[in-house]
Amino acid sequence: MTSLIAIVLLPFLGAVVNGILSFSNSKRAVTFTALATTGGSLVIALYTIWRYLTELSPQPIEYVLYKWLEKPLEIQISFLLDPLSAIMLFVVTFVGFFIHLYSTGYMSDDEGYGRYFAYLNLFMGMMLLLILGSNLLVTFIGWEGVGLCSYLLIGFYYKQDEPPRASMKAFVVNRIGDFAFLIAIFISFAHFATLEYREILNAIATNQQLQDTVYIFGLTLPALLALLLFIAATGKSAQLPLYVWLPDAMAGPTPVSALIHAATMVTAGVYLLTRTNLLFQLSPNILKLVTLISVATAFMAASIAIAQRDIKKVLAYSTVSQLGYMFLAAGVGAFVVSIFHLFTHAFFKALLFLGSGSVIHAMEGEQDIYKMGGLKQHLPHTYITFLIGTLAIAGFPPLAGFFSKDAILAYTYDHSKAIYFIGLITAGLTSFYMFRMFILTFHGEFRGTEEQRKHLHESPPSMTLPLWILAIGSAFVGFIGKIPFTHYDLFGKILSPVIVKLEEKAVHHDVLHEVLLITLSVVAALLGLVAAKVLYSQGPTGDERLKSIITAPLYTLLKGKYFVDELYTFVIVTPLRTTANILWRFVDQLIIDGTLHLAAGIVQLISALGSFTTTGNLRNYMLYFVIGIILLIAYTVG
Amino acid sequence: MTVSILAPEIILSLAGIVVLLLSTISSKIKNLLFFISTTAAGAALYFLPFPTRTAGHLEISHTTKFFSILTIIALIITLLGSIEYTSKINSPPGEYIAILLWATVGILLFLKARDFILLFVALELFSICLYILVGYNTDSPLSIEGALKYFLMGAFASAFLSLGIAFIYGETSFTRFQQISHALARNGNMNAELIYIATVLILSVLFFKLAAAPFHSWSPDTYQGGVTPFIAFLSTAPKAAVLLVLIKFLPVILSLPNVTEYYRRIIELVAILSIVIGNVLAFQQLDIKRMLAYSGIAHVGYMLIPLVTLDLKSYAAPVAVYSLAYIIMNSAAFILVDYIFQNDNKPHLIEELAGIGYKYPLAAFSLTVLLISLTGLPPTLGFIGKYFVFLYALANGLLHLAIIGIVFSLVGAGYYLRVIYFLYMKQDDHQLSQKGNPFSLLVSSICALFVIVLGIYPSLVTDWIVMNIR
Amino acid sequence: MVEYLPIIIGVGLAFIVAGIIMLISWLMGPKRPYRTKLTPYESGMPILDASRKRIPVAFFLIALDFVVFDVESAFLFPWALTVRNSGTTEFISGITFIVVAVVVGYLYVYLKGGFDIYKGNSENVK
Repeated sequence: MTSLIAIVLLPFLGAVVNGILSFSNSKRAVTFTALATTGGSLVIALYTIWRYLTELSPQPIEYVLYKWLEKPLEIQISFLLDPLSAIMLFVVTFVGFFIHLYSTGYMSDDEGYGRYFAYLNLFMGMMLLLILGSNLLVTFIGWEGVGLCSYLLIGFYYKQDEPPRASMKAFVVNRIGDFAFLIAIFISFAHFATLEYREILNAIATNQQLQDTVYIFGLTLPALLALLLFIAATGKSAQLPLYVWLPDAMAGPTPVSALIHAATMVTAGVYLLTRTNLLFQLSPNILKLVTLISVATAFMAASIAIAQRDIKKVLAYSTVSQLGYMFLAAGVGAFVVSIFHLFTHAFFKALLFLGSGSVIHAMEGEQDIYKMGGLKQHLPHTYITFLIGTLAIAGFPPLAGFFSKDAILAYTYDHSKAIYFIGLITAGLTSFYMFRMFILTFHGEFRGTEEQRKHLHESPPSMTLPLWILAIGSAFVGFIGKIPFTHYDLFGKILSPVIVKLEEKAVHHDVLHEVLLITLSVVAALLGLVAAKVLYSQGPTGDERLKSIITAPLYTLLKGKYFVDELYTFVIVTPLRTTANILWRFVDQLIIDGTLHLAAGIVQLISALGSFTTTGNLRNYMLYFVIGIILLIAYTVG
Repeated sequence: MTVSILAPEIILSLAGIVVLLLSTISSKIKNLLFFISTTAAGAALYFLPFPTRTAGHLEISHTTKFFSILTIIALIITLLGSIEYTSKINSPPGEYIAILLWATVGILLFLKARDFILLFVALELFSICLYILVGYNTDSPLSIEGALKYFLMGAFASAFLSLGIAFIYGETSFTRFQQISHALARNGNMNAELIYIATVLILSVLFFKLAAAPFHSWSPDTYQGGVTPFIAFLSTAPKAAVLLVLIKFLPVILSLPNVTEYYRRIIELVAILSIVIGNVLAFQQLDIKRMLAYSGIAHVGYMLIPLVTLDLKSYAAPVAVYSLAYIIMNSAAFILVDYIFQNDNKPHLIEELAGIGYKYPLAAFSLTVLLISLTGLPPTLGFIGKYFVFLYALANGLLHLAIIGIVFSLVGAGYYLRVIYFLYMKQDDHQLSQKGNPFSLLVSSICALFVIVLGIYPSLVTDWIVMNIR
Repeated sequence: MVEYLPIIIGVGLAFIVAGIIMLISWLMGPKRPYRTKLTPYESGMPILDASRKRIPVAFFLIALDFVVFDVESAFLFPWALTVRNSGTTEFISGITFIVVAVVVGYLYVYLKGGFDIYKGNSENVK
């Protein structure tokens, strides 16, 4: 499978070339490089995936590029193509290419054009490493690489105040998850002497004793690994309690938010869970934890989203909420549905972000939806595609979001009724906040300045084309998943080899149940739509009425994002600072610095002695030579 | 007839003569001279004899071939890095090139030698060439001082070498390694103490040429004052060659009964001293060439670690891997120091590198890569070298050496990374001169690239080394 | 050490004989010192100039060249004695040596102007 190498290397090549080109001012060359490399990658990927999935029974293909080090520390750079990575490959290259195309329009006036595409191409390469790696280490390289690119791109507008701070926050919060990932790698290597997914999972699957023996803290080894990988995933995929970086990450350019912070990188955690689903299926307690955390995240983020004014913040919280849905699916054991929601979400959330980018572009950088309104006439393409995206995420049939969200809720219903209802309410909230934003942005009167009104214009074709492509995707990709009332499930069939089936627990609802569930979710979405329409048809004053309905304290709580950032500042950051201060004063300055100064003094002393011997006098040197010989003889014989 | 075996030496000698004669005709054909010599080096590389394990005075094996390749690589790097330099100094370029070529001839013969007479002659051939070239920049008192010290110390050491050889010849009446080895193993009525002292004398001289502690005292002064692009050669090729001779020489003296443990302790002591002294003193240096000199002492210490096992069958491979890494990164680092500083008549202070990262981006980036490699961080060739050495040490129960090596590698990180800190983190407040020669930059950038490529894909060479070198 | 005894005796004899000869000439020689006899040339010839004068360095260079070529010719001597009895390889090696060391070396020194004392002094510093 040499084509895998080409797929991965092309974006890296683009990153290098664009990095060099960024020193010149040739935007055309940068555009060409960026599009040619990602486009080439997309074409090869499509061909490879097509060839692979149309085989009669696709077997996982491992391609060892080379061994870096031999045993005992065997580390190899190798790629794995199986149905899971094929689907991820499709998402990353497809969405990635169109977002590159979009960026050529969106970033066309930016002075950091070359730098931007160098980073973006690097991100593509790293993301491909992450999903194609056949062992934990390659995945980890990609994992850290996308984290780095995310950091660089969030802080892309480094001359402003906010982006560098946000990028630092993203990096630091992600480090917590990365740390867990590293420990997982070390533990795997210590126990299995390999990092290959296949070998680790085989070793666990065939070793019953390993599955039953408590390893540490009352956890078995698989459970411990699952917990660590889940902690890693909460960092990268913005789940409670580590989601706080994602809303701030919106400080980066909008296409970056679409690609990295909606469609691809943040879903890496979901991918990781599915890739190691055996570990999770062997540890029901961890799965329970996943379920609880994910449903809490989904609900909390959705509720925050209804009170936000910044168009990208709304979408960011929406992303956190949707990621919660994906983890929820994983938590109830429906890994296929989890990936399916990842798949559909990549389309409609990228579409929504790109649409918001188009709006922001037209509004000269304005992101406050209170100052928008009535953009329908000025941005017809954006309007229609945005509507499709909104309907899709709200879960209206027959758009993509309906299928995946309905499947998640159906599995959850089997699992626990309480969690199902929270999920259902979240679906209603999703519909509400999306239409709130949609109505405030596109309907009603224009509330911006006169200058902005004059500037309003539809975006160039390079931006509207990706919108349309993604809109078509958002509308139709749902049909490859499970179709209600039938047993037709293409997606599940493709993915089934990847998911370990410990016990048969497929959903076999009777038609009545299925009708009930579907009706409930559609009603929830409709309720959200109607509520938004009623409240916000007169513009932002709807927020006042919302406040009176849900009572002021609750509204303040939502508007303040549950004050989690403040809580973290109070509970973690401030005590940490205080402790750090104390440590700095006493431990550092007194003990460590003291020790260091002592050590430095000793080294100084030795060096002084050394310098004393380095006289520069030849006769001394000759003496040392003779002393050296005598020393050797005396040391051995004497 | 052994002409084909000696083809590289003959080609390089003739090229030296041609260059020397051409240089007298006109002073404007400097580039032609460099072209001829580089081509000759390439030809020598091509005509390296096929390994046949010829008996007699000369040994032709995979191991000698590998180290010959390393030597010629160092020669090519040095030649390309010297083009600019030779037009700035007050001495003609023709002799510089010719003597450099002949030094290489000496080293190539030294590698092949299996006889003390040839060994001694070859050693003197390249040593004398090296003495001359260190002091080739006659404008700089530092250069002459370095050359004089190196010469006098070298002559002093040669006396000990010939004394050691004479003792061994006196006791065994042989000069050829194999015959000596047999004679020692038979152990007639020989004076074992005298032979032991003789071998220690010879080992000491080899350690001196390696600049291993406690025989290192010449190297900082010599490196600091010497012609910078030439130090790229001096600090690499002879060291690798002497290591190989050590590898070949140890089996001979190990035939001496009852003293195996003594040799192990000698090499262990020298390795530890080199690592400790090299790293600790490098920390204090203000001059980057002196710093690299002390760090070179430390690197020799690392390269000696595998030899401590005295396991004749396997100890050569890790040494070969480390030598490869060391030759590429150290020579390229010196070439870059010359490229960046341009002026060889004053000290090369590390603090003068402030802000170079923004002035010469490619040069500074290459230097950064090389320094990271010298530190031994992945994914560079330097890491692979250290990995092989430490892994070998651990596999053979030399835990203490591995720990000392790793601890002092951390000390090494301190002074190497300080240079990078100056390159990028410090503001530019010095005015360094005009652009240097593109060839210097080209060759050192290629080296940096190699360091990374081989660091990422080490099995390109390590597989071959592990299979063939022993 | 017993086997070195003859050498020690020989060395001792040499010293003793030399000492005896010097002693005898000092005892038996006539000693009639007067002013002219005590001058450097013992004959009344006046000294014209300081004896430790500086000599142009080119003389030394030429002297060095002479030594090098002289030593090289000395190498030819054993070769000339044995070449008749040995094969073509030895003959070719000797010829190569003559060509490379002597002819090329001579040519190089000549081209560098090493034999031209006055010209060399002024120009060949470079």
